[in-house]
Amino acid sequence: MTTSNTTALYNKLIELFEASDEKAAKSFLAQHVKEFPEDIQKKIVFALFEDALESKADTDARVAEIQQEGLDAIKSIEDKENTFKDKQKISKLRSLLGL
Amino acid sequence: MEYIIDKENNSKKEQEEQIKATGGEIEETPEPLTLKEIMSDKEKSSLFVKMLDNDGGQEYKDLLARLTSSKLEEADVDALSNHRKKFEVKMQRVENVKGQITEEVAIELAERNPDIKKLLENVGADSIVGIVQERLGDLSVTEPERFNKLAKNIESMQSFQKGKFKELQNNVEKMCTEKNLDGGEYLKALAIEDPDEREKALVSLVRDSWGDGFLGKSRRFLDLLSFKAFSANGTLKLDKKKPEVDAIFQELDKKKKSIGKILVTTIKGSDDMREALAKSILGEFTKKEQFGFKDAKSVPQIKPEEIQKRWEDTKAEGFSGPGGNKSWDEMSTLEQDSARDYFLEDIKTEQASKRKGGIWNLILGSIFEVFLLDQKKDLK
Repeated sequence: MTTSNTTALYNKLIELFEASDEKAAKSFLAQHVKEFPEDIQKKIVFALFEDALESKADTDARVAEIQQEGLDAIKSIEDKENTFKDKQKISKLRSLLGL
Repeated sequence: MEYIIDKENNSKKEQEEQIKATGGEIEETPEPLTLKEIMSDKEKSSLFVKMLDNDGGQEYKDLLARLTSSKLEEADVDALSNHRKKFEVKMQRVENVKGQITEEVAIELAERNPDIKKLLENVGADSIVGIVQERLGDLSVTEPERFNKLAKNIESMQSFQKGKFKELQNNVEKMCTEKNLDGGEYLKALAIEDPDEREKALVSLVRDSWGDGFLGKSRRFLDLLSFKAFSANGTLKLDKKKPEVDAIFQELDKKKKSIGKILVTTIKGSDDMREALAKSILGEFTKKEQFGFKDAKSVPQIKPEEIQKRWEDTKAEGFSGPGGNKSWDEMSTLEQDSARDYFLEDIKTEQASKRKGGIWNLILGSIFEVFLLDQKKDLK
């Protein structure tokens, strides 16, 4: 972190905080990561990785929920279809037999 | 301490000898870490001490004090043995998680996350992996909840590659192929570039097919259908009314195709599309604020001009020292330098006391310290 841009980096980050723009603040850290001292670089990398991993895990879990529900729903529909067809056959047969 | 550690090792050897003596077999298990091995390894001993310290309680702190000053007591053997086992379990989990964090994972995350993509460009996948792996041991003992969450998330990601979720994907894919289902208008909607327009189109499609909500509606639809079509004893109510029966079959087919379109989209769409689809069906996901943005924002951030003003005010008050109160001009160069250091240290402590934890506070706090050091040259 050079002397000349330390204050500039810090000021820009505060600006994004004051604007409540977390997304832009994270993006700023990722963009300028190499301009920070090594120990801060590591904190930034770890935090952003952790955050990305959580987002992906959350989306995947929600998609899996939709998929399982969808599969169950289609199976239930097919069971109902088959039940209808069976009942129709029985009904026809009874009709033919005059019952 | 050597005596205590050796005593633990000897008791294990004695047990093994007893088993052999009675004709039993010793199960081949990976050699557990002994306390001696832990304490003679710089990294492991540091983590072990942190674990004891973090677990809290006065008895742990007392044990820790005796351990680090080599004043262990006889009664400490069992307590240490338990902690050793706990430590070993943690370290095994850490190794397991480390093995799952690979460059491929970083690249996969970058596909849907522009921040990770930028990190890949700026530091490289191997550095990202190295940094994350390096931190895991410490995290497991100092912030076990955060570590467990990360471990769960990486395991979930792996499960989509080759575990139960992969099996689910395969079932969906198989079903869509067998029934010749296509994504239809869903894939078209997901291809809309503007995120707001895309969301509107998706929400509209889901609502047109199912009303508000898809998941609950699919169950309710089937319940309603049963009620309409079947009498209480299960006989078909509509057996003589062919048009109504045909209509039911058509409705069933339509619903199947509608669900099928959503399922096809979940396997054919990109990660962005899948996220947009999940959001349109399940609503916005409320993430726990693990980054702690709100907490960090609540801490008033100090700007350079404020530091300058406070410095001027401090100088105007004068500086007290062994020789009494002195004005800035009366102080030697060395005294002036110390005064600057004390001033900045006060501000650092003041800000640190306001930060209540959370990842943003950690990062901001570190950046603030570096920024503060940079202000020293302007304190004239």
